[in-house]
Amino acid sequence: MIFQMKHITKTYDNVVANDDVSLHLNEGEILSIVGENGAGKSTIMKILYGLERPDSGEIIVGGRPQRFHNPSDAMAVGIGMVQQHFMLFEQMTVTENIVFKNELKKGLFMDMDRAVETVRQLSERYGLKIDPRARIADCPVGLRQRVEILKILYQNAEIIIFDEPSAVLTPLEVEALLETLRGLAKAGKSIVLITHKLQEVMAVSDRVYVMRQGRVVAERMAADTDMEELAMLMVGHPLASYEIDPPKPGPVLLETKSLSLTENGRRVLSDISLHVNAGEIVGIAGVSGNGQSELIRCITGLEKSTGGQVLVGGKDVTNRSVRAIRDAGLAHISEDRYVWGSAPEGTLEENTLMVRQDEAPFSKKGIVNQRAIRDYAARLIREFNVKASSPVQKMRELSGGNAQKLIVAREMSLDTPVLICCEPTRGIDIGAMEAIHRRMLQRREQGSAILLVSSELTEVMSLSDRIYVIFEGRLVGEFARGSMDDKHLGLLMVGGTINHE
Amino acid sequence: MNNERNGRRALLNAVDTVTQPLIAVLISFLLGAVVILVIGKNPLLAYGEMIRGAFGKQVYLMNTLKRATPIIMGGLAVCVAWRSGYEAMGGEGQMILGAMAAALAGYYLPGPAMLRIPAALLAAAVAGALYSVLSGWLFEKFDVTFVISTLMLNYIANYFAAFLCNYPLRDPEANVYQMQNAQTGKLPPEATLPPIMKGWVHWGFVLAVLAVILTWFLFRKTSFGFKSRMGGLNPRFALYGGVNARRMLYLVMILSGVMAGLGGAFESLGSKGRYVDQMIFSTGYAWTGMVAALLANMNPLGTLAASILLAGLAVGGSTMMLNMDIPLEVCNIIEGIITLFMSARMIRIASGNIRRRRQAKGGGEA
Repeated sequence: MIFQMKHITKTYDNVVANDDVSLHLNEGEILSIVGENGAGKSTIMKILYGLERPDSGEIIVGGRPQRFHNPSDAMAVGIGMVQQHFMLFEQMTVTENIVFKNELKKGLFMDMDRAVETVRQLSERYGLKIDPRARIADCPVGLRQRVEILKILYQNAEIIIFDEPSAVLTPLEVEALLETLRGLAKAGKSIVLITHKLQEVMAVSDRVYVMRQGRVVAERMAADTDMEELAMLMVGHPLASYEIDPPKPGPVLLETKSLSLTENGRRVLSDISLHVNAGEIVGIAGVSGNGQSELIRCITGLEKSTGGQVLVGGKDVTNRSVRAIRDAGLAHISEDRYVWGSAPEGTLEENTLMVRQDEAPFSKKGIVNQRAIRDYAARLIREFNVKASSPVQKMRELSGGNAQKLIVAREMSLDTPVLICCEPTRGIDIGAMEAIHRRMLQRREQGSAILLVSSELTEVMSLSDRIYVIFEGRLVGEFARGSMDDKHLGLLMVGGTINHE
Repeated sequence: MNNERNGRRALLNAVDTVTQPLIAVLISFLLGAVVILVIGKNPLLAYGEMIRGAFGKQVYLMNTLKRATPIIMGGLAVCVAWRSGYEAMGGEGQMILGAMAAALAGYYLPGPAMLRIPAALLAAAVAGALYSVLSGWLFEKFDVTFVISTLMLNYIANYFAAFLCNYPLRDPEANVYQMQNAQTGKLPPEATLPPIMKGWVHWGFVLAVLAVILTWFLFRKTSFGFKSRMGGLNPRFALYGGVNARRMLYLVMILSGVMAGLGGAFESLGSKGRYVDQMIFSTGYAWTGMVAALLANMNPLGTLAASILLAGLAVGGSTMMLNMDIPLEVCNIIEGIITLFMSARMIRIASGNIRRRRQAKGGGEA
């Protein structure tokens, strides 16, 4: 046993992030920790890496109890972590980044040639191919991650923690990463992999812990389990399947015609033509980063498109202001609730007022009606079951799921013909997720046109009447409900083609 | 029941925002007391003397309020801009141009007081607003950060005003052989802000208090206040909610500039009776105003109170110096420490603003 964590508990304010968590790692094994967002996997690893301190519990590394005050303490006993967000100096070379803080000296100066040689040897030993003299700014994401790994190996880490390492990678880079993980384990390193992608877990791990709501709920040998079981353990109960009536599509309410976007000479969106009818949920499936965010920003007026048209309710609103587009009859649940969808430091009532601030009864001739605003916030909180203590508490005090419910409440209460839902249930618990899904289906019954963007394929597939697949800024496929299966969709999402006949 | 809880919550929030600055002020005075002890004087007596010198007699109190007037206006200028997420520091330049514009309009325009004073105030408001809009335009068009543009513009304003009162618009009656600051012509009674009553502070103070109430009203009771606050808290959220960011920027800049410009006008029309070279620059009214706004966490009513406190510190300090032979520097130390505490806060607010705005401008890569 190379390390052991015993009865770790960690609370933030009043949220229990880790509740009596005990786990261990054997030498040379690849251990996966899986769980939904917010299950407590990142917290437990931050504790191990010295970024957070536990309220109680014990960490034992190399047979001795340890107390880490910062990551250097953890590094000193051989624990390194590859963070989700890389910490590299863009303008420096691969070698300079790797030896940073532990430079090889020649007199007063850095011995660059010896450093390059060391890095080269390191990269050969672990099969991590890289040009030691390349500038980080010129390296794609996959290579940058490799630099991060080498940086940790250079500091003689025996235990390497990977926090969602594939989140930022292309499918090919993911393959290479998995290969790297196997190689490192073979070379005797011990690996902890934090992820919620079960394919990767099954592909490389020896052993798996499943976390849910801050606790370890299961431990399995990878050979004795499968993706279905792990998924069940992660969510607690299987995803509800919804009773959905066949669609009764009405007129087209949202339409794009050859919508295109070029940014700094790069084609981000190419000729996107889609339409959403009244009474229909249309999904956009795709690996995140293939233009979904830009597409929605161009439709909603947050970004100016460089070609094509957007029509809301038949009216051309291409590149109009956000206000004009919203007034044409569109509401928008944004993909990131704290970046776009709310002001975390604002109160709940301020967050529910947004969009309607210039409407009666909330304001007349520019003077606000405080009572109407508060009553409205209280009503939305009640109707959408947001767990909140008061309309004047701050948005950031709400849990992720409740914050999301509040945003959904605000946008749905605008009662617009067109509703755009981007990642409407990202990182929230099952209960809140089902509540939001039911609201969307209800709106569909009432004849709204709903465009759903989600990186969760199951979500897109269970709700949508039609699905467009997006890959590298292009729509590469369109399916009606029932005429698709996840294998075909999956293939299209990563740029494959389907052979007809 | 719910209302009661909301009320309590709001109260707790208020206590929270008030404690931090109060502690800063308390520590500053404690450290000041240590300095007084080192000099060998009794700090309690000294502070007693200071309070008496600031508020103890009608004359003293009026002096304090007179000094507070431009500080309040400078503070409001900061409240308006910073609450909306623009860390503009151009209050000084706008105040200088406002003071100059008012002094010139008052001196050269004909007519009775009923027309002349409003005309002079209008000139100051326009001068302040235009100068403030200039930095807003630099920001919008060329991405020049406010900290840089406004600080530079402050110097330009000061030297431009110095040029005017030294050369083309110098007081025609000035005695060239006398050692004195350059100044513009002495305003006639029709162009000065008179005292409210005999022995009282001039009307500028009343107008400043009205401005405080107006600003408070704007912040709390209008959709403009809501939109500007949301823009300050999260510019992306404001954009997403359909707030016209460009329009808000210019409205905010105009309002902030008007406040600072009027602050300058109150000083030249009410206190000095003319523009005197360096009258705003050397007194640091705009900066004291910024400290007051920070102490009050951008609350207009709090800014009023903090401005009077800081003005009292300076006015009472002189009495303390005269009566107890304690150097005026002790007051500077106290104000300096308060400023230090508040700049820590300022850097936090400003860096937060810059980060959030950069994200909003950069579009989606979050």
